[in-house]
Amino acid sequence: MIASLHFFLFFLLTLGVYYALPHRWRWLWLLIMSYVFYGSLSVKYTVVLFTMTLISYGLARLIEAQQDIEKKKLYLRLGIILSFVTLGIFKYTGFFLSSVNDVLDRLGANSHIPLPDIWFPIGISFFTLQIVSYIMDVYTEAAEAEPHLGKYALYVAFFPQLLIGPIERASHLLPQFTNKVTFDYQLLVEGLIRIGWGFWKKLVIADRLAIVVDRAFSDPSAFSADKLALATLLYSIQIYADFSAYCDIVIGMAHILGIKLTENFNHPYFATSPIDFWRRWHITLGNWLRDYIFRPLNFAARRNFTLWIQTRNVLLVFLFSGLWHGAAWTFIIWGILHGGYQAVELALQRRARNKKSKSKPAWWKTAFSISVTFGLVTFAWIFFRAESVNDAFYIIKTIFTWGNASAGGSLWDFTSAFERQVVFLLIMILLVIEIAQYLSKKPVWEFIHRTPLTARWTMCLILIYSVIVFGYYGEVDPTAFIYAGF
Amino acid sequence: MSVKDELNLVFREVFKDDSIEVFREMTEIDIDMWDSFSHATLLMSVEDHFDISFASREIMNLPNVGALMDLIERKLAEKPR
Amino acid sequence: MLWVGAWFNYRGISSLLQRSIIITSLLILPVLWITVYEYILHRYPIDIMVVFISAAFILALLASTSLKSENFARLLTFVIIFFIGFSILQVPFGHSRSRSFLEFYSADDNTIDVLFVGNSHIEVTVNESIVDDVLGVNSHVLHDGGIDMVSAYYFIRQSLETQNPRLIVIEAYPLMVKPELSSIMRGQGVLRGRVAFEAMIDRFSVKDYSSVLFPMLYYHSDWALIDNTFVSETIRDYSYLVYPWLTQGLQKRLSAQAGMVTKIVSLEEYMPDRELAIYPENLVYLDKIISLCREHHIDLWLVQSPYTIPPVVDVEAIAQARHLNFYDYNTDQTFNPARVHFKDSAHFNNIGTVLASLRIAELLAEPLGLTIDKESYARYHSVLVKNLTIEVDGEQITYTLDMVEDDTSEVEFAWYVANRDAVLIESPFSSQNSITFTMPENGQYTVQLQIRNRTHPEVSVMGVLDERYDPALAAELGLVPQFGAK
Repeated sequence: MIASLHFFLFFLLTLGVYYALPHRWRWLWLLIMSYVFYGSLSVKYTVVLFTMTLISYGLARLIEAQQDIEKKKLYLRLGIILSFVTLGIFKYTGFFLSSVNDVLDRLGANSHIPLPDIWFPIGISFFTLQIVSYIMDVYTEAAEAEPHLGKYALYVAFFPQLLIGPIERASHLLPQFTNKVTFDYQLLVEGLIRIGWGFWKKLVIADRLAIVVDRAFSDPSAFSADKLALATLLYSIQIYADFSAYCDIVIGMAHILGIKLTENFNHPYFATSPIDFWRRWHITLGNWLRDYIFRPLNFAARRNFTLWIQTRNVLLVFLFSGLWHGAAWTFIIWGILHGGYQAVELALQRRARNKKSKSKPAWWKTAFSISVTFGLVTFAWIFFRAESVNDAFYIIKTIFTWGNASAGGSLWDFTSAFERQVVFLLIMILLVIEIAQYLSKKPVWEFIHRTPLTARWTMCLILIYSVIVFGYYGEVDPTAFIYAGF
Repeated sequence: MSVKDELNLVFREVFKDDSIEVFREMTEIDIDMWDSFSHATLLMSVEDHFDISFASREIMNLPNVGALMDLIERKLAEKPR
Repeated sequence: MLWVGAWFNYRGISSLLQRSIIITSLLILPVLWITVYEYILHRYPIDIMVVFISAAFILALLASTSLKSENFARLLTFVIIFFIGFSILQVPFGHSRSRSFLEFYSADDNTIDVLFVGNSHIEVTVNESIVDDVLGVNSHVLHDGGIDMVSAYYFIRQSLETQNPRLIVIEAYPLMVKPELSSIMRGQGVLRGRVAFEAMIDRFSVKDYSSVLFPMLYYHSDWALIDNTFVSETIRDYSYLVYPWLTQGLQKRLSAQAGMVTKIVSLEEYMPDRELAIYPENLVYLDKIISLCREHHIDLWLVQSPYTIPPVVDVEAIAQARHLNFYDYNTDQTFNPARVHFKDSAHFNNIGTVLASLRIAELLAEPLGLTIDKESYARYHSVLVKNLTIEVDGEQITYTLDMVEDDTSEVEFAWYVANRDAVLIESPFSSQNSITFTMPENGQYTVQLQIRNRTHPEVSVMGVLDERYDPALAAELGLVPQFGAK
């Protein structure tokens, strides 16, 4: 939905009217357009969205008005439970019932629970976290309960970040709807370049790789080990290109509207350890987990803080993260795997804590850590992407035993050698740009924006034309971002 | 000693770094070792040092060191003498 | 509503310059675009108007509020440069480079006497230069691959814009082409100006307008096929014989069925994705063609190209019901047994084209009131092939030609055996009307033949006799190799 011409035109229309309207009505325009956008996916989704907004709005006001801590706590719990139960009904009913059926199968029962036909309001995983974050913040007084229902509804439904985040905190996003924003040409240009870069990553890299990756993961037994290994590697690139592209597009759009959204990525594949990775990948989710689950857990256990408690807390957080990503065992294993990485790293850190040197490690040490971390993360992605746990184990077994050599499946079926070379070249271009961004600590859109006019325009034109020429927007729905499924 | 100076002592102790100088806007980004675990350790050390006790709802609202200082001051004021 | 919003802010503008830029841009630039499109790129003005006006509108909205006129002008310039570049990019992707249409558009007004209209079947059935030589007329084959009768109607409409033919021949296969996006896009791509616009409004749903207006958006994957079309050049003199569209289509099909022994299959088997039926919409447009021709006093003929299997649809009944002049190649015994004339079950090869072109010339001589030029007829007649025999003796294979004329002293033959990469066996021009060879190894081979007139070497035909032949497998299955049909 996001990387499409239609959404871009929708955005331009929103933008034009937004700045034409007097400042005090802009929130209303954004709110209308947010609901129009969500309603265009399905009208019934907006009912869920609005109901959840209304309930959390009311509960937050109650929490704030209430003096008695115990009652505050009661409302807080009610809010959290209601939010997660709603999420649970839409997201986990199928998974839960089919798991129950599996158990019944094992026990030899003949009867099965019929699976109800439940629709999934896309984006609910994201705005549920945002709603919970808001209620918690009101409870801890990190944020004030928003008296204005409209603006609060906009905080939940703000169309750029409604579907896939970034997950914003009320104290950061809400005041921006009241701030007086004047149109800034520099913001417009910067934002547009960033959106263009997002489109490039999504349509040129992610969607083209998706064909290859999908082919491998939909029927792993048809492919030899080298092909599966390549597909796994390409998936790492795909999911990064996909999700970070989405963030570039929506943050760029909000940027033009004069609203600053939180950055979600900070060169994740240059992380030097799993913990570092989670500071760089899907940052707003990491922050959410840290602030609302991890820190309270650790704080509660501060008086008897053993290695076991530490490990348990990490695993709990990542189990939650896995479950949040999807209702399937593959995601749970993926979560536990990442939790395991971190637990091990923390245990090692505990030992090394006292002799930690302050000097910067040698470049080859850093390069080595980056490679190892990338390897671990890529390994975990196998579970994330595989259609079933069995598939995932099959893929891992095949890769590590270098087996199934006789399988004749071709990843690039029906694509020409020329196309493969171009795809390879495009990936190399992405790699070079990513490295340049990392080393210069300057994002590519900022770089383009600061070059002289002729160079800037040339680069912009090349960017747009290459999206149009090399972008993959046939066959698969180009608008489906991987993360929209969560 | 002001709350800030005392807090500085706690920080140096917890993070084993004598060069630390706390300031109000300081966050975990400013100190390498400040992760979610040392955060718990830090809060525990603060509690012990000032002889106060935090509730979990209080510690969830600590965006920076300044907020922590305010919280400590409030706690100290509430403390029965 | 939007205008009202814009207007209120608009009134606040003090700069006369800014206001005038906006108004001029809104009025003059679309006109400029129409000019560029209509006269330079021969595309339709509507696309650019829609896109440009909406872009200008949005920009104007922005400009009316807070965009400085300097920045506005800058943005506008960028958009203009973008669209100029984008329009140029349409050219290689626009699929309007059909040789047939390029020649048609470059012809002087009212110079074409006879027009042949249809899709690939008319393309391989009529060679206009033979018809021209023999009849002394100026004929033209107006075709594009896989078009339906609706497109044929618009082809005729387009031709009537500049030409006034005395006679039009339509091939019947377009009746059996399902009017779906891929075929109607192809038919649309070659049209220009008024007719193109009308066809777009008539044939496409609004959501497909963007594909029509910017064909590149539809054909965006074509860059990947570049080397596929180059493959055919590795086999010499192939270029005229195998048209790019055929190479692309067949190569995909071939790789999907690799390893099969050449055998005759039914048309349904050959084209499993086609429903062979007459689509009602096609009949409606056939009637429109009939009345159009009556209006312009044009003599209309319907012909049916031959298949190596009996025709599936009774086209004759359709022609009779409409009192159309009709000729069916399938009723002519000269073609049916002689598979040497075909390159697949429904398309002539070059050898067949010569025969079929002479036949159509004979047929049209009377209605056009012309006489056949005996001398050139004899020249073409000298290279006509009656039949071909293949003898397999162990590993040895012998191809022997049987010419229509008993006296073969006027012609010479060259033989080629090639696989996909290179020509493996080559025998230069000689009076040898047979070739004996051994397949170098198992695999797929193409046997090609070139026949030319000794005194008039420009009268030369080349045929692919057998596209795939696997001798070992054939021997195993006890099959006598056949050729031509698949």
